[in-house]
Amino acid sequence: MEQDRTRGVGANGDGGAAPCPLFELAGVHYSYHGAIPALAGIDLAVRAGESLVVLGANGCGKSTLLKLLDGLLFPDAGEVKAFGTRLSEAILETDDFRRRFRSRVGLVFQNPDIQLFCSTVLEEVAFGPLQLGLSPGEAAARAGDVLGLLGIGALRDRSPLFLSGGEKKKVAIASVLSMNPDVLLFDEPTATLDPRTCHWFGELALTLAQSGKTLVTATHNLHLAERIATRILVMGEDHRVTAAGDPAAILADRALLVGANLIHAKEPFRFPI
Amino acid sequence: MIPSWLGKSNPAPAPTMRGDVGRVTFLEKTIAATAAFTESAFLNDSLADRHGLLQVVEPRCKLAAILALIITTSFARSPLVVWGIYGFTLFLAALSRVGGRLITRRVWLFVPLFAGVIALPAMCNVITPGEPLFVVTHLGKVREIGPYRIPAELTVTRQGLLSAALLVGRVAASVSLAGLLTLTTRWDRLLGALRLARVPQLFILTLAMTYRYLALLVGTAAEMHEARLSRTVRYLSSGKERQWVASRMGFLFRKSWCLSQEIHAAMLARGFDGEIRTLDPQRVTGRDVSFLAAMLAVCGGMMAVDRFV
Repeated sequence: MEQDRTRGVGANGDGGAAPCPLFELAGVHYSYHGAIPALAGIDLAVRAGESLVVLGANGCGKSTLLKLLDGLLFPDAGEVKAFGTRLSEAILETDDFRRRFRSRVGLVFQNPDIQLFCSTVLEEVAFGPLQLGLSPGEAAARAGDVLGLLGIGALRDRSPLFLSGGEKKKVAIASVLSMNPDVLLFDEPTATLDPRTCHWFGELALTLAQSGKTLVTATHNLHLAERIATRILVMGEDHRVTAAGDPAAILADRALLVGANLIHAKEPFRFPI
Repeated sequence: MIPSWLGKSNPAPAPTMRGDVGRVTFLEKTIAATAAFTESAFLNDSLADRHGLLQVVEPRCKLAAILALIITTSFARSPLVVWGIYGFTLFLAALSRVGGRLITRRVWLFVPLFAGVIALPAMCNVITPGEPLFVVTHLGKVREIGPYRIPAELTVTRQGLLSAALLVGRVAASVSLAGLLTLTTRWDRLLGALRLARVPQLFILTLAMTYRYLALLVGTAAEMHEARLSRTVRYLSSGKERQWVASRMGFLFRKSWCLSQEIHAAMLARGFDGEIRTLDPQRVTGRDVSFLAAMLAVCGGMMAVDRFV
């Protein structure tokens, strides 16, 4: 386990000796409409097989970070490398690179409504595999397997638009898992979920991590972070990395969590939770 | 510290029922009806899942057949043929287990609006001179208005009536055929068929995006209205109501723009490259070819009748 927690402006999320990073971010800045800052000088490396939890208050730039990792946004300054290649709009227009990249990296959006657009749950889950070039038969079989794994096989012929919040989230996760990505990016996976579904997600994340998947989870749920993180990155409200490193050390630092607006100064919080 | 007024009990009397029961406003009815119509028209695939004649036909063959019928309707010059095609469309709807009431209601909601406005004046001798059938009104004397000469008697002419019947029939048949196509085909398969028919990708993508966030926008509109309703103490004047509707339309426009970007990003994240692929692309079978041949034969027959009527 890493013990390289660093603090302060421009803190680096890199750990010690480790496998070659899947993602490398160097000096990444991003702002919306050139005016609303989201990320201000992020340096980060994501290594294969780790479960990185990005902790931060609302509006600190967690979702933007995940979209940059998924090649949906591109930095105003600095660079994002994935699998050793600098991500750019031009390179993601290349058929071969895009196909390989999309098959290896999957993003589960915070709002499942924007992710679910097919007529039925089965078609939704098969959408990704079909886009990757699997035959309809293979895609349907894979979708069936994932629906079974997540315990939502009974929903296969339902319209995703008319599911409950928890069911939508499960279908959104299934729609990404069916592409069998090596890297899974989860944006606020437990937001709006009831306690049982939150627990279910924690179990799923642990299972995925144990099977060798790389997880990057953006959340402000400290309970979830404690359960699934092998490393934690704390983002401050100044859109910079405030601290990064060992989950036990991060979650035990009350001053850090209060400063990052992850707990309130008057809130009784002790680690382990 | 909360302000002192917030700590006091609300002085308003408890709600009691006095006087007449209020009426549901035009705005409420419009929003509720729009949401219901959108859901039934665009989001409900239950008709497309029924086991009927058109539902089992491969979407490309069905698209080709419907297009052929619409083209025939457009080229036909006889109202008899055009209304014959309309009747045939209702027959197809019945064989496809689509309620005749549903399709006629949907069509005759729009026809008076778009075709009727043009057809009504065209029936009169001012626009279409000819053999008078009956007098609408006596104007007393002939008047000249610009290029038009208004006769002393405003009459409906036989030629005008036929022109109007032709126009309304064409619109009714074409809209019914298009409606039948969308009602009996799932949207994703319809878009896939359009792509294979070499409809420009940009057009398909725009249609797909529109469909995909329509449900969210309708839901948002309904929720905005409910949120406002829950804080409405007294009803506003119709002018203020219109102002509110206009401002919410602007808000929804901005929201739809943001949503389209988000949904597109979600599609890209799952490997979307502009090509629509469906789970079970149906293969063209002998049955589909037979259906298409039969529809083309109907079109040919209608055109032949049109020449001799």
